[in-house]
Amino acid sequence: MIQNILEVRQLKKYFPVKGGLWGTVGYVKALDGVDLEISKGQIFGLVGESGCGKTTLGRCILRLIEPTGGEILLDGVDLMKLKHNALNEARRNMQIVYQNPFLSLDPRMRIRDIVAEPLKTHRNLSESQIFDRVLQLLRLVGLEEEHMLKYPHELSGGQNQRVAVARALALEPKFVVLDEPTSALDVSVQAQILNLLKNLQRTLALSYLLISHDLSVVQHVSDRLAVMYLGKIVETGSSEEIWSKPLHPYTTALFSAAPIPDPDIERQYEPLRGEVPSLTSLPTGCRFRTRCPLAFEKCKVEEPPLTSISRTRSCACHLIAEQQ
Amino acid sequence: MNERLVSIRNLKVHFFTYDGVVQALEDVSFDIDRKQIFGLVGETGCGKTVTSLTILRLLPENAKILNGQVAFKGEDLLSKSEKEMRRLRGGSISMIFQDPASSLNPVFTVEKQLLRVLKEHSSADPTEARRRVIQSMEEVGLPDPRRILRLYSHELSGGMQQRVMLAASLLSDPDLLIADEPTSAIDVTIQAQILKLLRQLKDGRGLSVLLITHNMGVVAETCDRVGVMYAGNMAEVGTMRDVLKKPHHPYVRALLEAIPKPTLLGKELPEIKGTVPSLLNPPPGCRYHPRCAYATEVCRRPDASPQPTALTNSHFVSCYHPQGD
Amino acid sequence: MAEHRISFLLLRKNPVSLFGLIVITAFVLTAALAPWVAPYPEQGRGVPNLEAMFAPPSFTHLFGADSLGRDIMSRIIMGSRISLMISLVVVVLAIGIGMPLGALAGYMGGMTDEVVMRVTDLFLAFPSLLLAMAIAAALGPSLTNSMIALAISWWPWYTRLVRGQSVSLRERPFVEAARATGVRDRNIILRHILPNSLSPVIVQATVDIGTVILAAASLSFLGLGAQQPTPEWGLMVSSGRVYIFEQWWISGFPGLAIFAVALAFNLVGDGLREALDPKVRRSRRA
Repeated sequence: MIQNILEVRQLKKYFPVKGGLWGTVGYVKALDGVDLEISKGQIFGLVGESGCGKTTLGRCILRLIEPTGGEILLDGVDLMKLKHNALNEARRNMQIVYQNPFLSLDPRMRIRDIVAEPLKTHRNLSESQIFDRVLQLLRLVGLEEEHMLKYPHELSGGQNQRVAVARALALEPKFVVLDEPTSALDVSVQAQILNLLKNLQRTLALSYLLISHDLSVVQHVSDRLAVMYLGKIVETGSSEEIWSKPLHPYTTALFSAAPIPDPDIERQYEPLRGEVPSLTSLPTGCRFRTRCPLAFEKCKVEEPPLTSISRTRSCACHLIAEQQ
Repeated sequence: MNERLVSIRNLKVHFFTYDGVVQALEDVSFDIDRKQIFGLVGETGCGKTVTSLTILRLLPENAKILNGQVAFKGEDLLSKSEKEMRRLRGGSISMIFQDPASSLNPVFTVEKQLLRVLKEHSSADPTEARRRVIQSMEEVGLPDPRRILRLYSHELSGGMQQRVMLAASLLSDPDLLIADEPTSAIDVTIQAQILKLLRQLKDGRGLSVLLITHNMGVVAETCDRVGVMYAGNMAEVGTMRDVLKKPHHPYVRALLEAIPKPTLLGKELPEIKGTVPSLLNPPPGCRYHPRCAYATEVCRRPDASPQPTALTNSHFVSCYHPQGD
Repeated sequence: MAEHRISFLLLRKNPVSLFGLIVITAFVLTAALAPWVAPYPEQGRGVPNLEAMFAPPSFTHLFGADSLGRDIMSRIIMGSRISLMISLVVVVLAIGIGMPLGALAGYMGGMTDEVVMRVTDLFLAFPSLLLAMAIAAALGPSLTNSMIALAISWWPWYTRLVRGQSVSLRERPFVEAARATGVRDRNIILRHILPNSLSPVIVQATVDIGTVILAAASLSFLGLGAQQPTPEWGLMVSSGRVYIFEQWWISGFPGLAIFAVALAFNLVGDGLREALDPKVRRSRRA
């Protein structure tokens, strides 16, 4: 029986907007009821543009930001119900790699200490045991002993990102959130890091949530993917399915908007009209309707739920639902 | 009429820092014609931004142009005075940057900022000035310009801010627009609109664009000609089709292969081993040779960087062992 | 080139801070070697030498002698030890109290932040010298008490400074990454927040050493600090007050010493601020 490493149910994150003297005049609904399932050993991609909530989702899952509501089941355990110490214990199983390697490593610490920190926090190891484990982790990500005593500013972006990965793997987590892991890196380095991440996933049987705005990266690496828009998931499916036949109008627009480095591949891109609505005043009904070329009456009135189209596909669109 | 708008030859720029001499540009040459979008592509540290700053003579104090020529409309820019350059900047040569929010002043309305730009380069009276500003805004596709004029920059989305920057840059009727990563900070769906707009401006008013980017997709969508830089060298220059479909420089070939494509779904990405060299101590000869699968003795010879060889009369590669037919 | 070396070079190149650096070095060396540098160390400590009473500056007494014939120069030299000690003790104490409080307030936020900052604001509401005077008066005039009084007046500045740093640091990815690996708050503050807040604290501390010397001298001048026969510079200025028109050297030279040293620390502090600024370093021509 395939179990899910992660199940997210109706996750909400509302940021209050203060106004006047004390009052809260509204909410930024960064996440408005998100459902997600990642099976063990799966790479799950999450795409969307700025403001869609994908970064917030990654952080909420790890409870680095406190969700406003919903359930987060990591290997069957509801993280929302855990208190401080139990949560820190649970954190051994889920880790995160950030976008900017220079910002995610303490500039005043040496590489060796950065990778050793999680080990010192959770285990009682001797100095030499820690040294061995750190060296093992660094070698795992393609670095060498000579890097141990260096500071982050002495290494390149790609090397620093490798350090970030090593640190994330120190406690042998089962699940890793990769928040735009290659967006701050050059193309040539990106390829190295993506290959590394894929290899590690295979050899260590990890599950990933890969968040990115770069569609080609997500498509290349993920098994399944989900598309987000304004705080909700609008479509999920396998990488291949969504690439070959996107269903939701936003998915179609998103995929066709990404420029392809091959002049021979024709791309039909119809620019979406209008601007992205503000998260504090969302449109009634379907939140995409103000820019959707296929919107009709029902879209204004009722918000389309994320419905299963097939065993592997879901889509939140009235039109698509009616066509099935 | 002189077709060649910009002509850059053998540009050599070094930065003198506490850590040593950064050999930022070495022997860089390329041309931009009128009514052309030229893409300057490369990874971090390749020198593309330094090149654009050299054209505008906006290099910091510790930089020195050791060699080379920069000709704009037939005139040598490197010998012009600061006063003359100031007239050119924002005049015949405009520039827009990556993050439009930091180029716009948050305490002034859009109207004030655009009018101020116009005042720098023309002496129109207030009514005429306003008319020209609105015209410029319409040209860049801003809906309801009169409403936008009253807004502050933070009330606009990223895409609209960039359009405002474009409108500002067009007010002086420039011949050349230097756009440094204009869409890197913008969402993909908006990016497509901005790139389409650049093409329209090229066709409509004959604007030439020096488009600096690290994204090959953007190049394929927008550019007529491309120059790929690596570690301060110009590796390959040619038409967009030539460079993207028939690359000859090993670095360009490897770079194009390392980009994830749907056709490579699931397979390992071809990597380029190693890292970009430090420009404080660049490799002798061809700067790519330590990472190149085809490097030989001649590639390593100091003071003997490969010169551009013509593959056709518009396609040049700087390599001792160009690949492909 | 290593970070510290670049900072030092930048400091040296700046002529103004270079001057300050020279004066500070001279000051510290003098304080360290005082009994051996002073021509008349006994007089420096307070032993009278009535034959030289009110002697003007001459070759035997370069800075002249005071009302008890004691060599002013020796007293200034011996007094440099006191000034250095006071300023170091006060600044270290102030940082020792202020920095952890500020880090705690900034990182924890919420009620902790509110409480700590309101107390800090309370202290900051008083002009620091007045506060120090009031405390010194309450405790009773002595050198030790003046140090305590000054430390109490000074710590709030560091709290405010470090609190600001902490607030911005806690949002940084590397701090969040530490939380994600389960590091406890206390350790985050100790290992990540405090080390990364050091730069502005060092700059402030450097300037403060000079300011504290001035403040300590002020307290002694008013009789609230060091007592006779201690060769504290402020006290020396005070005791020379009545003779200021005829025997100007009794107040004049100690006053000059206070001025020079306070200025020097100020200049070096400013130079340090510039030298530690990453933007300035990158563009400077070697």
